[in-house]
Amino acid sequence: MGRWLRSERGLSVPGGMLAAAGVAAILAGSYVYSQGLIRVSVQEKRPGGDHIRLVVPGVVVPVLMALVPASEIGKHMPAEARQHLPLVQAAMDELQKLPDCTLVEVDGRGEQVRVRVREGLMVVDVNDSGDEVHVTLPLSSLRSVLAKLSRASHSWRHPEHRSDRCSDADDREAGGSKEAL
Amino acid sequence: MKNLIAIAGILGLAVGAGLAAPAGKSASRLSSDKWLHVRVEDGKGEEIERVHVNVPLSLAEAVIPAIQVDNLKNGKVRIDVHGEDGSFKDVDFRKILEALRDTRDGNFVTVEGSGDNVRVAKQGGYLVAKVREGKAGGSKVDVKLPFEVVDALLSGGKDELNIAAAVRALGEHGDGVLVTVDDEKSKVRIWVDSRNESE
Repeated sequence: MGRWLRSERGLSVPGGMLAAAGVAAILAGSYVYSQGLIRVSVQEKRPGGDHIRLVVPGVVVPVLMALVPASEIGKHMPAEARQHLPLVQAAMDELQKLPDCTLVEVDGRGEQVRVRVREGLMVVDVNDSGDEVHVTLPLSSLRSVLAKLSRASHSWRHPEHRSDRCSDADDREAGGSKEAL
Repeated sequence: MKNLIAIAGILGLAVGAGLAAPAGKSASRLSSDKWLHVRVEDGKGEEIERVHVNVPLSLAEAVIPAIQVDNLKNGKVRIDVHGEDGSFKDVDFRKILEALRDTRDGNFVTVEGSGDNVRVAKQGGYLVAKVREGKAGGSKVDVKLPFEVVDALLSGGKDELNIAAAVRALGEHGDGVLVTVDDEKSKVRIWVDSRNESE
């Protein structure tokens, strides 16, 4: 037993496994860190108001999106969203290339809004008389969501269009068979 | 002891690789793009409301062609020149622009009335328009557009303004103030420069 636990060079097997597990944990941790965290904080200003806080690793988003079938997303996606998807994707592609910057800043009486890009994160801060809202979204997570939506949009066709295509294809096939005959 | 040092080294490398990942990502970002800035100040004293919008021209260039709404499609705005009064239907803006481009610097239009004063001129490769409201405290509007941008704007079809081409031309041109509006209640400034934050 003692020989099994101890290799020839003197490092025990459990020790090696522990080290490997440590390396794996640190690599996984640093990957999660590099993908950023989704943070949402909403605080109501009225007395006794709620304070909702949500922190989710951005890396979870592509995993969750992978679990939802593209056909289901495509079926329930509103036509307007489908239409504006290329626009949002184009914007997202460019947003990812941006250095840290403030895109929009509104400073009015009793209302402050700020939309910024910070180290690959989209940061939105809203502070008005009723609520204080802070949202941080990793752009990479947003991009993976958009990529999935785009795939779903392309793969899904309206049933009417599908039947048109089928009938067109059938017609062509029938025409082709006739010509062949 | 050697094994412990080896394990510590591996752990150190792993942490280093993890921390280096986001840093590498930010270094690859572009930082030399031109930015379009819009600054609006509305109201006076404590009631003042400030809006700052900073948009990289590369973002505008990528997004505008993707917009497909009513009159704006494929980066071009369709103008209804045959609208209700049809006042522009016989005006060929492209020909007017070509004529203006080939002339020397100077004033083209000067209207001095009891109400507004309007001056449209060519100055050093720019189309300059100045509008002054006659009454005290009236609004002042200054527009200064590089001819390349105006040219690009009119590079679409007959009844179209090519916004995408104008944005591209703006990016290729130097920094400068495009529009300022100054009146009793509000101030608007639109300009292009290489800074990613407004002043």
